[in-house]
Amino acid sequence: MSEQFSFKLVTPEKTCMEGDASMVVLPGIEGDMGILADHSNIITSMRPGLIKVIGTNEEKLFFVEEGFIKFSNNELLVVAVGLDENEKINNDFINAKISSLETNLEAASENLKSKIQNKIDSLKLLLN
Amino acid sequence: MPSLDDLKKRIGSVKSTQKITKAMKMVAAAKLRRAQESAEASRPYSESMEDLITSISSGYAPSSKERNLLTGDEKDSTYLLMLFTSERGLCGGFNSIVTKSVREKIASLEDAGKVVKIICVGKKGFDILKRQHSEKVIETIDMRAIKSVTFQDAKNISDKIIKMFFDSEFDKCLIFYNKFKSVISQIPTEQQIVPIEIINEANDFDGQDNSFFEFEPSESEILDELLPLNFAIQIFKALLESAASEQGARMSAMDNASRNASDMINNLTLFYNRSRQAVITKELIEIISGAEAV
Repeated sequence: MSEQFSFKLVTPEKTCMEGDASMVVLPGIEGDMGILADHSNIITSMRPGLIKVIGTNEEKLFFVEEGFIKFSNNELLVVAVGLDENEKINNDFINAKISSLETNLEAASENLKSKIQNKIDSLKLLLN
Repeated sequence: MPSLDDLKKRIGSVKSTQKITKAMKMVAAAKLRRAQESAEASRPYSESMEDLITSISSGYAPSSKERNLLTGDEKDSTYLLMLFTSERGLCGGFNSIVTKSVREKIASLEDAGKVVKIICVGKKGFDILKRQHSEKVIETIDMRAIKSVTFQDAKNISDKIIKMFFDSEFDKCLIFYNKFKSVISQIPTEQQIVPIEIINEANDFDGQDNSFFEFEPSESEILDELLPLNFAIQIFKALLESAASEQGARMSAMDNASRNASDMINNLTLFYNRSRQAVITKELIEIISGAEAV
């Protein structure tokens, strides 16, 4: 078994998960990244996508709309917004997210538009 | 002296008031538990957020002099004060204490020649401030429709205020709310959220230097996204703490009121019984002296 590191996932409402993990796959803003123990210190933001947490004997999936991660001293901190747990994630769910973002897009100011468009694009990639 | 009938009526009315205050106390206790849970559940998030911001900003100096939420800009002529109060009364000193600290702040800022703008979240704060400062209140945010605060509510408020910031409507933003400590103690808290006050922990780092972080994308891009989120989370925290404090304050206020009511009932009952006896004695004396006269 590979080495473990401590993992914490928080949302504004509650702490969703706290424990040890051997690998966490995150939808980083510049591409998915897998974090293993002893990763170098990093801070990055996330695009909409799936977080996969691989623990000792279980795997968990979360959907995240946006958020940030910080890894240092073998501690991974994920600060998420718009988090949903695995069971609900299907095409209908993602389509609903896309359509709500599209309504936001119409109302948004110019400099926000590209950001929202990027979000929609990365959500569309999740559809299957 | 009030007649026996009047006394009876008074006792009755105090009793029914006591029923109301007792019921309100119980309702507040139930709501308090929920509010306290959600306030406590959100604490790790805001702590993590502070942790992130400290990590990023300790090694970061904004390259441009542009307006940003981290450092504000050099001006500090206009202050925006946000006051978090309740929508309903009957909660003891809850609203007046926090409003008092706002009043003091307004006075000291005006002495220093600053322009003050106020946003009231919750009606009661506005009710207290409107006599003296109604022209400074630029907005009152109504929370009556919201039963339990969600992050989206906080985000709606923060989006509005961030927009005001970039439209140069204010330079510094302070929030005032009651921090929940316990049922009997709520601490009126003043916190500056624009620019962010960073607690400088640089001195007690145990060897791990924060400048070792890799950033993806760049620090400034992360900050651009992180800071509005942090703003929203601070507002969310204030809303939750204020909601929990309100219920705590109401609970202890109603507890006091119920106790006062039972004291009052006791006194009135005693007085009623004495008066009743006095009337009986008087009537007896009248009968006896009447009989003697015959």
